[in-house]
Amino acid sequence: MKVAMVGNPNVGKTALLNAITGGDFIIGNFPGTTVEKKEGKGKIDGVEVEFIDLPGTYGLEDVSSPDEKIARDYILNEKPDLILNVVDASNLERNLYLTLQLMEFGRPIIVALNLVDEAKKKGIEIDSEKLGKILGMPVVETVAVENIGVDELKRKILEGGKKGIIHVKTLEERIEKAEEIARKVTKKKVVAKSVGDMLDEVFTDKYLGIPIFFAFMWMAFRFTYDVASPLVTLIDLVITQLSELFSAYPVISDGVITGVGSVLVFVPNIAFLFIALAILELSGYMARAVFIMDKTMERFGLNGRSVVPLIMGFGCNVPAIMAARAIEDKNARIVTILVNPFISCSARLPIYVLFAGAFFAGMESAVIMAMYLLGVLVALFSALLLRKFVFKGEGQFIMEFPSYRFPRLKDVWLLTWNRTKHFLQKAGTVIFAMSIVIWFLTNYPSSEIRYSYAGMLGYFIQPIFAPMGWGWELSLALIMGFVAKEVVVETLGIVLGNPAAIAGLLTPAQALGFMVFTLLYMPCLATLAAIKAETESWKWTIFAVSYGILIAYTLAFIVTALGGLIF
Amino acid sequence: MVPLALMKEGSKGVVREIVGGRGAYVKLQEMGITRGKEIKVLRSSGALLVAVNGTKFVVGRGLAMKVMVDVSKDREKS
Repeated sequence: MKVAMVGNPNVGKTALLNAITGGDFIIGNFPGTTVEKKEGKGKIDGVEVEFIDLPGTYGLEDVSSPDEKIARDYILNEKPDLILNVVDASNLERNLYLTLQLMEFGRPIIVALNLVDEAKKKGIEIDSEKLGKILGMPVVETVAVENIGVDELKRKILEGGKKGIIHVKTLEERIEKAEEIARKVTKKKVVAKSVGDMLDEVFTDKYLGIPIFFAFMWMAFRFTYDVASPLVTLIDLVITQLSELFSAYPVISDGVITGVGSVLVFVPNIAFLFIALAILELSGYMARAVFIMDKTMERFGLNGRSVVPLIMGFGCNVPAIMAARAIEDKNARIVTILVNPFISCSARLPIYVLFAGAFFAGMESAVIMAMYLLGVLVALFSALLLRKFVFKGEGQFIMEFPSYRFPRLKDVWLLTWNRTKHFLQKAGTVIFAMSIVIWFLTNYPSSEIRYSYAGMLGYFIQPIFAPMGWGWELSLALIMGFVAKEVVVETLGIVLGNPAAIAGLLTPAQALGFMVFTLLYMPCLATLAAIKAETESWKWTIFAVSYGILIAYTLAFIVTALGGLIF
Repeated sequence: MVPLALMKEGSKGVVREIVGGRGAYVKLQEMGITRGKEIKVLRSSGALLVAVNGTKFVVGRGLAMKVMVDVSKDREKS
């Protein structure tokens, strides 16, 4: 038996899927958490039921929206045995519009009247029995996250639902009908101003809103780096120990363990950033941030919707680029994706730490902050250019404010794990392979690096970077860094024996230029794959690479030249 | 009638018309911003924060220019 779950965004479809199947699907509190259909299998009284959780949609008519298209195509082509229409009880009228539309597909339907607890808090009570009679199909009241009504819903699913007895053809008729039905079954009490309304007044305040937003971001970053730091130290220690243990096999100790280890040490930072973002998202705050930042984003041709992907980019650009899917406007979406690699992900931090420590002792934080800031500026101005000359046209956007909810530990974990996973996969595959490759390149045909293949490659490439005064070691590190930026420090470590030895190779100005270049050039392979997948275009993927290198080279040259005058 | 984008913070009105293409019209209808609904502007800075039927929406300024709102005093009657 195949059951398609359809409903407005953020009504708790995925939470209900988890409640029915005991699954661990990621839920959010931000419209559009589910961007692809998810499948979950469950057994009800021994009957195997396959659930398909479709992305949230307000209707099925607007085919320009990818979410609506996925939902509509699925129902049309796959003809599920049953449609489970999940409805937000606190917003019945609007949700019924979709219900009426679903009836036109001629499939049996069950309505799950979810979030009845939130509705009650808003003073809304719905006569679900009456609603069922009017619609001519079963209506079950549920609170998915607390497992309320789930058993009854399962029973009704086995019974198979009903086709419904109302047929309205046009959009306007449907709107009228939805209003009429909602009026008949809803009782509304006036309630005092809710805490949510009060929070909204503060969070969206003209003067307070932006300082509060930056305060939250600052907290998230302190949490990311300070709270995670003991874990970083611990992992570092384990890696060093392991490396010594295998010192008899240099390909393992110097190659794999050092290589993969140099990446694994960032996992706590990334995970902690995503924990902080998950809490902000699940609480409902992120949607407020979208509103607060819209004005600023608009100046650069983006809109508030771009804020979340840009912030996530500080952790890892891969999930950040995937998060851009929630942006409806295609032009704004592509631009947000293309500029995302300029946001300095956590993999670039060790490069800054190394260089700032070696060349700018005493002012490391300022130099590192400047790198992050430069990344943001380049991203925003590139967005502006792209919107002005390539992706023209004004974007339109509308987004519903979700209710505030207290984040549940399990949901924070699922969201965090799902995003951190990409990073670990990268460490396990690409970085693992690269570590071995680099080790061989640096050890053959001669174990003296300058005569090894790696040395030859470095010397061959070096003239390109000669204007900035970078030697073959650094040129080689940049080439290796094509794969992933973590590899830059790793390569320097292998080539120089100790990465800190760069202090003797460069002037401070050249070092600063090198940092700028690593910030901006070439997204890592995993990010490139994400760009290709999300833009569905080789053209834009190649653009992302060449534009990045061009900007990186230009700015690195300017910084080196200017720096040479200053230092 | 005035476009939603030009309404002041704290003001109310009744949605009368959605101008512009079919796409914007369908989207707004589906989301519940339909003719005859009362709309309140909670915030206006860049995007607008509005409330319709107890639900809050962030509406981009571009889209808000397409929503025509009746703000006259006797709007309930018409």
